[in-house]
Amino acid sequence: MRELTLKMTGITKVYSTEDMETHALRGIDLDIYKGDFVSICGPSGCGKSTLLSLLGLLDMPTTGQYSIGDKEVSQLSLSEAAYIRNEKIGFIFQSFNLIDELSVFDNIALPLRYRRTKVSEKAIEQKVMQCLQIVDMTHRAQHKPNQLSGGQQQRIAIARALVGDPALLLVDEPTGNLDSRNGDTVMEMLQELNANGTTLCMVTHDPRYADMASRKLHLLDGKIIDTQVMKVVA
Amino acid sequence: MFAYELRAAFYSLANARGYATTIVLTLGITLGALVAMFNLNYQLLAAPFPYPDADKIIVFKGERFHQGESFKDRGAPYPSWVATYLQPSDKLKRKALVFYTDSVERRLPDSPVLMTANVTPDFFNLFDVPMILGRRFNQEAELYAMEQVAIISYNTWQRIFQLDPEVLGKTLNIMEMEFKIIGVTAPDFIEPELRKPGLETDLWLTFDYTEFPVSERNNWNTSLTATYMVALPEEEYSLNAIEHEISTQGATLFKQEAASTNTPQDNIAFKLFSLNDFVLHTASKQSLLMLAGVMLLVLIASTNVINLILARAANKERTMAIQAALGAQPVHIFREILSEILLLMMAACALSIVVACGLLQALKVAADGFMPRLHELHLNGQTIVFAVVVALALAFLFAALVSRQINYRALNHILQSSGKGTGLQISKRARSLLILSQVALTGILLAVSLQVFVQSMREIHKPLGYEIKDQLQARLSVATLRGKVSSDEIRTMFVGLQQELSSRADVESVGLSTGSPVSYNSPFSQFLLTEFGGEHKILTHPNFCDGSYLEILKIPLVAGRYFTNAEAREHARVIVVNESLARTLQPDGNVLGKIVYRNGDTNPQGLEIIGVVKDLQIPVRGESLRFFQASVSDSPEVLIKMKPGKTLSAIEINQAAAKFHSQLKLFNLRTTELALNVLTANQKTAAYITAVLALLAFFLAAIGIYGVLSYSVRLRRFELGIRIAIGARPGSIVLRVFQDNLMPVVAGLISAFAVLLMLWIWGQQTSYSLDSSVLGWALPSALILLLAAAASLLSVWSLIRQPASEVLRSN
Repeated sequence: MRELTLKMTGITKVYSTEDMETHALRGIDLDIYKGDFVSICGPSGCGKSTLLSLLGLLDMPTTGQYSIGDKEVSQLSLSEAAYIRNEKIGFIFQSFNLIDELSVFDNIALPLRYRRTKVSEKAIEQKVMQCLQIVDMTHRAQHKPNQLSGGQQQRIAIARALVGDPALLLVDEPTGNLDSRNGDTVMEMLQELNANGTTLCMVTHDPRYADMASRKLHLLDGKIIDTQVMKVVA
Repeated sequence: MFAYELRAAFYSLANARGYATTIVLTLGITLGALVAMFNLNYQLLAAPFPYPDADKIIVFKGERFHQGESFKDRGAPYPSWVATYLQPSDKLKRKALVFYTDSVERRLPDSPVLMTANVTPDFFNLFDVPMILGRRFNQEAELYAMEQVAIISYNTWQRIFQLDPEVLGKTLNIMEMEFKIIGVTAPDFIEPELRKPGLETDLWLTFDYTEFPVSERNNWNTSLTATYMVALPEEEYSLNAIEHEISTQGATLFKQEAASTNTPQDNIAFKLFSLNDFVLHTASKQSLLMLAGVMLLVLIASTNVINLILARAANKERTMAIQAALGAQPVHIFREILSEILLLMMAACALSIVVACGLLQALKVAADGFMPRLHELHLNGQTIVFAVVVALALAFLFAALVSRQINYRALNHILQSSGKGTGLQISKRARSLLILSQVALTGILLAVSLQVFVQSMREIHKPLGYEIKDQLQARLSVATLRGKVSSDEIRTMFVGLQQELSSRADVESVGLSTGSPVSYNSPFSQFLLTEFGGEHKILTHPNFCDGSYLEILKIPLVAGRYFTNAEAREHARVIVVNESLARTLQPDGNVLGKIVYRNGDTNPQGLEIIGVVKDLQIPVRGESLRFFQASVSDSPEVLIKMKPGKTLSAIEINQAAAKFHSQLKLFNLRTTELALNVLTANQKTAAYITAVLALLAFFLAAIGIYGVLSYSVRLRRFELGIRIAIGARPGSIVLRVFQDNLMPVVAGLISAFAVLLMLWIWGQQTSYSLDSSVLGWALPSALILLLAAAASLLSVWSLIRQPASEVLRSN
């Protein structure tokens, strides 16, 4: 029996203004198991980003159930959501979203500094160096993000996403700002992480990379219209 | 955790040096002014005097009344002080008399003038005067003991005796008598500033040796100014009861004695003050006003800083969003903001302490002579704590204000690839409030500062109505001559000195008088009668002078003539009156030939008015009913009109005086211009302080308003770009921005006006009232409107000079 990482049932998201309502998601049912690599594709405005926001607890659904592990997370307070996000979820963004003022080391250490229970500086150093090793960037620990290439920055972003040992890695267009060679390197790295047991959920426009996932979801007008199993995960 | 945040904040600020420097300088300077004013007010209002039982020490001041009206310039007579002091009282534990004067040390070659206090022995015990050498006065130096002993100050020991350790037993020659030095006060002795702020006594003699003439010491019709009785009361008696007892004793004695004189309608009283009230006088009012002004300045600076911090927070929106995505709680973000602001505030706090030290030093120089307790003023622990507390409070306030502007929920949307949402923007309401408060605070501070400035400048630059250029005022001591030579002989000496000095090539003219309008001497008062022995008395200020004195002053004549030197020397019974007195005597002012009588003058011939001169405009003092009588006093002030660019030294005057008597010694010499400067020093300081305050307020407001407006324009860049793209001319863009900004500016001006109106109404009922001038009220409004227009133009300047495509693209 495979371990369920997250489960969404009947998730909807409606953005309301005085004049109109926009239905961004219309009843999403989604199960992601430990070790899954799920890619989400679809045209602009289909609800990919909204779904990723809900998955990452950056926003709360209008209706529906959402649980991560055993915990129901669909209606958490902002503070509680932040803790879950910090402990269970790692983010990789299209535009890297590293903080320019902080060194590579401090950027990666950031999630550990927001932990509910204080993490010692020694443990932080150990963990950061371990993650830098994974992305092969130990020599750049004291550099500032703007001293790195796009590909290197994305590798740092991956290290930062991994540092907190998240149950789920949410990846938003990871190659969107990279050339094809760097894009390939990043995707190889993600595949390797998945091969080592990391659960991934990735939004992408690129069918080539979408096909690397174990499961591919097609979104249109806020609904999952198609699910393709690319390979069976044991 | 906080250490990490402080470190991160430090590195972050290192990358924003302009921002950090602006905030540290803005708040460092204004907080420095606040800290200095706090220190001053603490010193004046809360710091205890460095004497045992200082809060219990009381001071009696003598006052003389005529028909219930106080003579401001006349104190109680000499014998009343002595009698009151000698009268036993079970209500006073200790008491001491003190009389202040200037003395000349006659044996030393440069005849130094020594600020002298004649005291009874308990003065030293009341103030627990520390001695570095020798001892205090003991009971052997009590009244009537005639002990020729002296105590000198540490400064005198240094200045005259070059810290000679063998100084005890040496003598000082004062009034042709030798006074043996028995003690030297310690350098840390803080003197009670009874006579005036900044008082530094050089020499203490016993009360028996005041310069008050021995022949007059039983005359109850004299008055003794600069004389006080200090005392420590028994605790069980109320101050009212003590004042009543002492004053009644004095008044009863005066009434008994006055019966034998011609002043039956006069009376005296001894008013009681706490040492604190007596020394502070009105200084606390001035210092509180300065504190209020500086607090407004800090508020303006704080508004600027809030604007800068908000703008920076808006720029860091994406960083905050990343942090939120990684699990940062609102409290984490608050702590990061707080860390950064805390670092800035601590730097500003450190700078403020440096600025405060500088300002306190400047204050000691600028306010010397009219602000008490400046000798004790130094940066103290309480002030440093105050600076740190204010800095911390502002840091928490700023951090809280910025945090309130952050929409944490919206932050989460920023990182979506489509970039929807915004977490931090200074709302239009917040921006309008910032402008409104800037304008209101600046308007209030500018208006009040300008009123004080205009009032002070008007006082300083008021035409005096007489000449002061190239004049020297010289006072020569005649105390030692009294009793040895007659008054007529002394007058002859001065006339001789006048002629001697007049014969010099560098001197234009020399006059003799009882004191020039701006003189060392306080003007004394005298009743004039319209009928000999009549009841109708007019309180006037007389001046006994000669014709040269009037010629030197060039007071414009309205009618009649000046009297001559010959008339003055012969004591011709003629006077010249000012216009105010002329109109008081006769409503049409036509008083030439009229005869008036001095109260107490036994000559029924009276005084004939031979001239009417224009009123003088004496700074600070104003003009009173004044007359000049043709006469040479027996202790005149010598007024020397020099030829342009020439001057006389004290030695030259002493050499000239020595030709007439070896004991005729100069003890004070200064130019009339300097005398005027001393008189208007308070106004000048007020003018400088308010000018600096007004300039700082305007400068800060300019930065602040420009900051808010340029941020508003940045937010509206896209909208303005579209307007430019569809053909709006640069002028119309500037006008539109100005019109949009006008609302909060006008609202701010209205708020300022409302507050000022309330202040003005309140001021009318208190002694804080200010004159109101159109310039003082209109100029701030005009300046602020001009500032808003200039800020509007500047904020859109770069935008309207670019092609529309550029504006839209860079959006």
